[in-house]
Amino acid sequence: MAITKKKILGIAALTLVIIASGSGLQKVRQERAKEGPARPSVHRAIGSMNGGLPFRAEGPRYAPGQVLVRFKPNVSTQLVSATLAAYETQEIKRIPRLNLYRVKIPEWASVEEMAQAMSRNPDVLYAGPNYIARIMATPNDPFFHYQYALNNTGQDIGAPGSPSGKAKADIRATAGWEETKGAAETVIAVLDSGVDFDHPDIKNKVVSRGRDIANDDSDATDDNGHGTYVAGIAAADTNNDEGIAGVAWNCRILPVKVTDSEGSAWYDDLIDGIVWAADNGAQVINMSLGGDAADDSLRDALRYAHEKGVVITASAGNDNTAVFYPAAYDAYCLAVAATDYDDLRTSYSCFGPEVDVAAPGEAVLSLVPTWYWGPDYLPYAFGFGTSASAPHVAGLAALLKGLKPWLTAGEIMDVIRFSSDDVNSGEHSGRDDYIGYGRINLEKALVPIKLSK
Amino acid sequence: MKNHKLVFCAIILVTLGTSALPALSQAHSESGLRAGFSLGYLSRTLDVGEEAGETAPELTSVMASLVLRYDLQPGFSLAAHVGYSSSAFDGLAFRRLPFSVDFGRDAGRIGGLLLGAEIEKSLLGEGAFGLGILGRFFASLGIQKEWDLPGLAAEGSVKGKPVWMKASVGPVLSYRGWAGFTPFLFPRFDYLWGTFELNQKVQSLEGNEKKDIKGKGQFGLGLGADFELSKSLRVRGEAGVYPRGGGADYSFLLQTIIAF
Repeated sequence: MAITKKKILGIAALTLVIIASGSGLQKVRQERAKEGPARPSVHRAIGSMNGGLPFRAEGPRYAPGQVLVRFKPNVSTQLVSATLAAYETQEIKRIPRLNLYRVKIPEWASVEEMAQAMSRNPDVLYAGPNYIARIMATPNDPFFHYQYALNNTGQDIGAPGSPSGKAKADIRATAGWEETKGAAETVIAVLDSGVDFDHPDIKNKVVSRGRDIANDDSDATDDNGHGTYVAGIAAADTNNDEGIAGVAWNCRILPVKVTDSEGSAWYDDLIDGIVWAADNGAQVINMSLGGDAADDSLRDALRYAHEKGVVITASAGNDNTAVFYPAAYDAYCLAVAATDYDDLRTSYSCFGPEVDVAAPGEAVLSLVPTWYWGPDYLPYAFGFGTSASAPHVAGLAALLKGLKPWLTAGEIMDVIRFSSDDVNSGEHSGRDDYIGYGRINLEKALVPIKLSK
Repeated sequence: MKNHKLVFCAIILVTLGTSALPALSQAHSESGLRAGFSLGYLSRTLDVGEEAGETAPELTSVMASLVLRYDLQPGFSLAAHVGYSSSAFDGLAFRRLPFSVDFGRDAGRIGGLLLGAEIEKSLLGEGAFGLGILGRFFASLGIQKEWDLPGLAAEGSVKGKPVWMKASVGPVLSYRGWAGFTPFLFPRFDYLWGTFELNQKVQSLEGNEKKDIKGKGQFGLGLGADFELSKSLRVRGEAGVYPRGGGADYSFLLQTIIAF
């Protein structure tokens, strides 16, 4: 597609939408310049979970050589003993309130055979394997417990002055990761201010040095900070004993720099970036940016990428007004609103019929470039805005792309929409203009639904 | 692969049928029509290829059928079954649909039309021990069932219709030394296969997945007995075991046949 290199009027210039409610990264940086360096709220003393080893849901499903058997309440202990002896089993443990026994079975019998045989005994309510429960797939990234957006237990979310979140006000990332952690072949293009290639929590996740559309070269190094922050939410290096976890655990990032160092992008650069990303292997494009002007060329670029199978996500905007562009191009783009750690819509999140879904955008911890705070500080920060929300959805889109590559972009968009939790159903039941179908839910989108009659 | 299975079954049935032709010519004088009722149960672990989840899926089916048996000559009979099957597919997951679904124990059973055929011929039967050959074929043609998809932000459902078939053939070793009671062993080649197709619809989102299924293990051993309760009433009971990697599956059959 030919891109006309026309610089659209200043009002069409894009402004990064993370600046909201006076607490975005840009604002923090400006205040730091005035007041001197502010220490980020994360500390080096945070330890690793599980001794630095990952928790993995692997191994046998149930204990070998054991069966759990529950007798009817009126069955006496003498009869239980006689029954267990008849099956040549030995009692290991008893839970009297339930008349439940853990028994060791003879070597000649398999667990399944013994469970089936005992199930047929008229004195037995139930007999089955002694299944093994494991903690869910939890990455060992030391700041994971600050990431309420991925797994909210009602913990202190770590941001200065912020209260604890509400348990389960999250995107069910850990449950979704039980089904898939993504494929390395799935590439998320982050059209933003670039990425810090030296950041230890993302340097191994980038496909290449990308493309700098704004400066017309092939080095999308971040000179603003916003792009690194957004890329980290979508696909930070995960389970690497470092920093945070990304939504798309194993997927990779293609940085496409479309903004200048102040965070503004011309529409033509954005259009160029969309087309370039679609032509260079991106399966998902995230744009945590937006402008208030509609533009047919921008729409056509989105259509081009969409028809190539690329799932596109964009921030709805942070002005509590109508949805920004490109998010407002509903047919080709998922417009993402922001919720907080209590599953409430944030006051600044833009609204309108184009809003598809919501994702956490309040006090979301992610990466900042290593130069951002200076050498003595950890390169992480809490950010606010729909800029933080959109890459959560991009991460989910990438997980779906890897899990079900045969689905079209439109089908993946629908899966994301219809699997969302309608967390504001008390005020607006069903799809609404504030959070669309609801806050995204990785578990519902990825894990098989149990059918019931 | 599916064609090979059908060809194999066809060869067995044609071979057995061909051997029956000479007898057909004399059938009018040496044979009779009998009818009865058959009740069966089977539990078979399924092999669904690479997509098996953490639990191997399992087909369980209860089968009830009317039987029409025609004795071509002593020791040689053909039978046809028509009835109903109720099947469950515990642990079977469909992961190619837009929303993956999993048949757990709560998914319920799926009814179906049951059709079957049997051919049984005695080869050696002069002494106390008998040797024969038995071939069986059953097909369960499932009736379409619909399940809602709970918990989604839009109304959705899946509709499914399973079809499965089971063919077994092997020698029958019997002991005829006791009056009215004939125990037998039926080691057999046993093959179960079929398809299960699901269609999903969630508003404008639609998907379809057709899954080939087959039973794990291809050999079984049946142990049973025929009870001649009277000249006109015979009951057959049989239990089958199907060894497979990691365990065994099983089946039961009870048949009552009344002579006219």
